[in-house]
Amino acid sequence: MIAGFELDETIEKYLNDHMSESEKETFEAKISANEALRARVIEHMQVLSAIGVYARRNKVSATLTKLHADLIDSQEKKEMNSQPKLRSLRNPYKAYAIAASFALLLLSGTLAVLYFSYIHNGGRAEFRELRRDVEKIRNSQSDIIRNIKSGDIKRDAIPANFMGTGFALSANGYVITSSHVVRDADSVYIEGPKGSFKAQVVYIDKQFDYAILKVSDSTFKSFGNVPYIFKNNESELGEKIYTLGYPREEIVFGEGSLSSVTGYMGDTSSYQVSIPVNPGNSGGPVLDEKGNLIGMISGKQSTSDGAAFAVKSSLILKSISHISSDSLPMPIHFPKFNSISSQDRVKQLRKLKDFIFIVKVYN
Amino acid sequence: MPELRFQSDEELISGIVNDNEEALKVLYKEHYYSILHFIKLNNGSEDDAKDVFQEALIIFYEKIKDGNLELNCAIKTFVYSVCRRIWLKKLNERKKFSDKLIDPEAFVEDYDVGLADENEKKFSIMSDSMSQMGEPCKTLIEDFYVHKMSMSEITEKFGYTNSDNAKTQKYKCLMRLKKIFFNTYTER
Repeated sequence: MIAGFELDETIEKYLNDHMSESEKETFEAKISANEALRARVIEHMQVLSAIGVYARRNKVSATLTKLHADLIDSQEKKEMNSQPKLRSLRNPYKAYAIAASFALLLLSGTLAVLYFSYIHNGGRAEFRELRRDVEKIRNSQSDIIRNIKSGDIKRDAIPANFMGTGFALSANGYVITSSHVVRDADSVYIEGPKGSFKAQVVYIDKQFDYAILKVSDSTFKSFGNVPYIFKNNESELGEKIYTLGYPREEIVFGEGSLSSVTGYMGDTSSYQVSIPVNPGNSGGPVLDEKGNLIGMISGKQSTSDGAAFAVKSSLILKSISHISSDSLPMPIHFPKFNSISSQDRVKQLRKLKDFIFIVKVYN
Repeated sequence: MPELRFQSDEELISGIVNDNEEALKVLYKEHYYSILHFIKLNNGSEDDAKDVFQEALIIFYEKIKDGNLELNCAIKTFVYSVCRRIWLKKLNERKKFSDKLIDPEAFVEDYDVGLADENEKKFSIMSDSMSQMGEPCKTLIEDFYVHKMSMSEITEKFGYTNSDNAKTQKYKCLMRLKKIFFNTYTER
């Protein structure tokens, strides 16, 4: 009596046509003489054929899933590219260069006109006004230059590969970051203490500079209950606030206060905050002492120290509520309960860091 | 990345026969959006469109691979009509049956592919059997029959003392799989 596996091997050799002619003849003779053996060969054949179908279909399914993701990715990219008006405001060098030359033109023109009126009127008041205007223009010019430069620095440091911060919007895999972080993204990954996940950009809002990502990894289940809530009304001047972000591979804490209820050049959709931030902090959450989310870091002004800006959470919240449900793969369930409001800072941070991610962008 | 062009349906089909992944990519790109349009017109979501379309492509792919595709129309028509049938079936299952599907384009023939065909049966019973069988058998069987690993690689991976031991394990697993599989499976 031969061992079971040896008979199996012989059957497989026969089914795979790996037998010599004489072996085959002998084996076939055995099959026709032995009913049980025949049944066994047929059974083996059927099970192998089913395994084959199973393997092939799993493989092609995986391929199709990947093709689908690629197609949607490239489509999203196309959609982002086909919004020239919105884009040109924020993007990239050409627009800044045009703006810069326009500002220069404006400056020299205004100077000439005002110089004339100065000579004619001898007006002191206008001169002051002129100074303020010039200041303003100079500010926006240096800002333009800063933008170009910081863009360069970022590109040099991590070629074709950008990073920012993002944080969880809901337990079911939604993450928010700044829209400029994922600009021109081919693929996006988020990485936190609990691992790295592939994510898809599902929505972009350029007005408030935010992007919504959705974890697309099949292994992903849930972030767990998000511990903070989105503050729905405006925060007050002087409130103590802090952020967590990824200006480097390690999470970095930064604190300060709310220094103005408007942002850059009087932008009412942002706060000015005195938190030290660096490239990579964009998209990071700004929280008050109770752990309420009051905003998201959007940028800073390099011409003045310690002036960073954060988009107001109330406006982001409002904007998200207007997204049609068709554009999202599944509804976003915002956290309704702040579970860290009575905890001290260290405990808050310990809880929070699981919900804050490095957003890695490849293009 | 250079993209291989397929001039005709025939070239595309031979691309699939020859395992050219670019063929599936082209197929996907060319037809997904029209199917999405059709599904959305008929009360479906994007996820529905994806599921239906992929199911249809799998049928198309397997028919080509098994050499029993009888195509007497354009691939586009074939894919569309298979998707249409699948979607009707799904709407039926969801008790949302409407006997009038809206077709975005004039629609001529209804391709009757046996949707619940032999492959479908084999696949679903085998999937169930594999997961019922559990580990380490599932991985062992997949490694040997799907990933075509050699017995010595398997011996090493699973930490068996020698390859006869591994063979005995594989044999036992396959016996189990057969038992579970033939519990439900009978050939047509």
